[in-house]
Amino acid sequence: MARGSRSMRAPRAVAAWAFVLAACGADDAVTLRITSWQSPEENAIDAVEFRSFEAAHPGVRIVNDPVSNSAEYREKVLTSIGAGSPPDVFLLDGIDVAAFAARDVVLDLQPFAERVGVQLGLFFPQVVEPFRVRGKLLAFPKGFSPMVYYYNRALFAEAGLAPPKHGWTQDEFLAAVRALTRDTDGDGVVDQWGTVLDRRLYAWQAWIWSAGADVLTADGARATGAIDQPAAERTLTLLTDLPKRGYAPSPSTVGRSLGYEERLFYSGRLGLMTSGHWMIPRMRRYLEQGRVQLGVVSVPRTPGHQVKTPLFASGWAVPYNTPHRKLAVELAAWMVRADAQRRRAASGLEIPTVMTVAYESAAKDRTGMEMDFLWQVPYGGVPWGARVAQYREVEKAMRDLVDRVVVDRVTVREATREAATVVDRVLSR
Amino acid sequence: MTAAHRRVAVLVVAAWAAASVGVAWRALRGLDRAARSHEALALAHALRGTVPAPAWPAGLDARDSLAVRSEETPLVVHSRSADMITAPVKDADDWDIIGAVGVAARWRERATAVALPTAAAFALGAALLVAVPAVAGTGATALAAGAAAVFGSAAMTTGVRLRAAAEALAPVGGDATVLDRLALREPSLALATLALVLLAACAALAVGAVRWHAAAAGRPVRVRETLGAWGFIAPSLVHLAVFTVAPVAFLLWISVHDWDLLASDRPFVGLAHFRELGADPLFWRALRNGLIYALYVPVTMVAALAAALLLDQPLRGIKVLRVVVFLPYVASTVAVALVWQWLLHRDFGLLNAVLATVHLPRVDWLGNPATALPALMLVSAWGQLGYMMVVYLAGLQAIPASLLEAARLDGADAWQRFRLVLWPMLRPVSTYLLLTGIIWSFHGFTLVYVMTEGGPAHATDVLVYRIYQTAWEFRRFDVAAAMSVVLCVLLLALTALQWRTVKGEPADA
Repeated sequence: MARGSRSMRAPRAVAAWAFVLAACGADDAVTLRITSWQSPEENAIDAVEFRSFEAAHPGVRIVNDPVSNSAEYREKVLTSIGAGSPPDVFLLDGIDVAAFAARDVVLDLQPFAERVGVQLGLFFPQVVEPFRVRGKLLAFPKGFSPMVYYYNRALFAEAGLAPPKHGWTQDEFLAAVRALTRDTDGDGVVDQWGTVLDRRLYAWQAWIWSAGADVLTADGARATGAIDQPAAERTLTLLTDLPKRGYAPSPSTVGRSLGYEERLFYSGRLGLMTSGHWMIPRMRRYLEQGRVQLGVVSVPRTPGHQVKTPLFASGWAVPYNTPHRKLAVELAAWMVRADAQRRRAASGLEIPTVMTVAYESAAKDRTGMEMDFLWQVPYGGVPWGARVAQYREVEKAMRDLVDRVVVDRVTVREATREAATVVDRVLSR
Repeated sequence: MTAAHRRVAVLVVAAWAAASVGVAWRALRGLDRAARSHEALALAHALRGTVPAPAWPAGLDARDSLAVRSEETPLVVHSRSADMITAPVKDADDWDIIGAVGVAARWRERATAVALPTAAAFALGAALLVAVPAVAGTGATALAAGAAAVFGSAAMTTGVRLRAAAEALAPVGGDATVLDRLALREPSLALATLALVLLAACAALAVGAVRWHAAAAGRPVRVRETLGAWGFIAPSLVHLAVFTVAPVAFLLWISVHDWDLLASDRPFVGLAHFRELGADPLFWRALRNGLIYALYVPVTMVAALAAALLLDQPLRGIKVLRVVVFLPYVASTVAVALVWQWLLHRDFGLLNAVLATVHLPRVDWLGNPATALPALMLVSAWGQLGYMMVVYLAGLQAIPASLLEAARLDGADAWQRFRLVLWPMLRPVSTYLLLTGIIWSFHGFTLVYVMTEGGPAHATDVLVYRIYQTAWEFRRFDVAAAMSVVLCVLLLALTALQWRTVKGEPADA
């Protein structure tokens, strides 16, 4: 009797649910919220992907909720996850991977990758690596960039210098910046510099690596024994001497919000500038107008050591507590598929993470810079932020290190030891 | 109090009580739904991967009128007999939807839950009115009755929710995408509980008020005045409790725990974070920078007083001039910061261009640790000058002209009139500007954030910026909370000083 009653209930339940679904109507769409720190231009490109996802998933609506300031972005994502109301998909910066992994708030996408058609074997392995933590995959990488030096071809030619080649050395770099630094109007004041010193760790990390040294020890537990070693100190001395010797403008005048260094570069007053692929969209106008002729070259190395540069990647991640897990993972996968990456690559925003798309994009590039960027990939390393949860504090301590030398005029040795002590304390917590 | 007044008073209090009951009812519904959403989610989680699914509950008829109210809020399925909250049940990977689960509360039981305590409460109110005639007409009894209804409803509804929880599941194949709309976000049980606790506190206060009223019945004037006074300050009191006292208490709690936004384990660590601050040279540097930065306040006051004296003249176009001086105060601080960043730029700045014209060397205002903080103080002074000038102008215009006239007749010159008449009369204004200015200077954040990011080499690192950086960049909320407590104590001391100073002012000042 009981079995019979139960068997009768099932069709009624199906009917009831059918009624619920019918009653929902077309307006009752599932809303997926996605967030990132991307610019309005990037959001416009992604909007195309959102609409195509909606077309492929009837009844699903995507709301993009970007935050332009990256610090406020992290604030928003963390707070919303903590409050139990997370975005369904969010952009995870490679240098925040360890911090998010430590809190175990991001869904492991590895088990779902194949189900949603993400073939990780087609991606650059060096770019997938930062998102792997203890066997888990915390995001589908969507784009990346190595740190490189942009150089002004015209200034090099004026100074009688041959364009630099990948794998050039620190001595060759010094010779170039010396030749490029000039007083062009003869008023006794230098108005064209060889390069610029960016105090931020991400800008000089590659220098340290390419000198065979590192910022932290191999296990990421300490800075003592790494940043205070002779190879690292020699490189830091070279870098911090640049403004002292007049080869670079004072770094303290390089205000973030003013974009001062880029202005100097666009206006032909800087020979070399370190940056990533993200600078291309801003420079494209000048390149197309022929106002500036640029080349891309690796960060200088010391003889006997290989070039090594951090690959800064970002990827689409899904919070562990999204109520729409399947749809969220599908959306994250949708955003990294080849077509989406092609569209982003066309805008010059970043290097595609899918290898074939990246080489296809480089083949279309007439400046040759895309191939130069791809040259760096085999020499790419995982940024410390993907391995060390307290990376932001490490980053700040390293900027203080440069400030101590350049602004407070302490010796490099003193500054590295101070920074190492601070970082050791931070990492021991 | 006339009969008409009393009727109006009773009507007002009754309306307020009714509104309170309405609010309480909404809070209870929120609590009830949040609790049932939790249950639904827990059930859905427990049933994850269960095949075959349990059956649809016997009490719910498929012919009932079902409707989805909202996809964003917990899904409520209305029917003639039940109010159900549902969540999808997924497979073992939490991936495909295999069914749904619902937690229902019957209308009949819910109605009973509300009706019984309400009836009891009103019976109690009626009994009070009969037994203690002195309290009639004050409205306090009605308030107590409402509170009792709220209490009773809370207890009963919760009980009903626990009894009436029923699991329902329909086996679903097919369109999981559409069924995903059943997904619940974690409901805010804490918020609903907080609302209920506040209501309970209000109810307790109301009961206390009734008792106090009965005791004070022999002093009707004082009773009326006291009740009226409490009635007036009650909204502010509640606002203060919710938005000031509670966050400060939470801040104190965070500062003595290892508190991470996303961690569930938050152990008590006592004063460890305060000890860490004590050993952190950057904290002391930020504190010292804050104290130096505050020096712009007295300097600005002097300039503002001078401007006010100049602009207190009956000249043509003086109002336009006042507006011009006041404008920076109403301008966006971020915009001001960006403009000043350019003005102070070493190579392109206007200030250095002026220096260059008189053959003085260029100064890297924001890049030099020796000049960065003074540069920020200059910008702050420029921004605050207009406000302080307006306050001084108001102070000047409040000074009776006869005093100045008498001084003039006594042969006092301009300096003597300022020193012996104006300045003493402006002392309360100056005290107010000085102390509030210093308090506000410790809140300085935007200029530092936009112009220097605390640099160069921490030369402009002030406490509020450090708090922000520690909390949101380093994600150390507990240490940031400890810093906030220190800042709070510092500002409380300044406020106490202000109070003492203001209270010590002569009455005619």
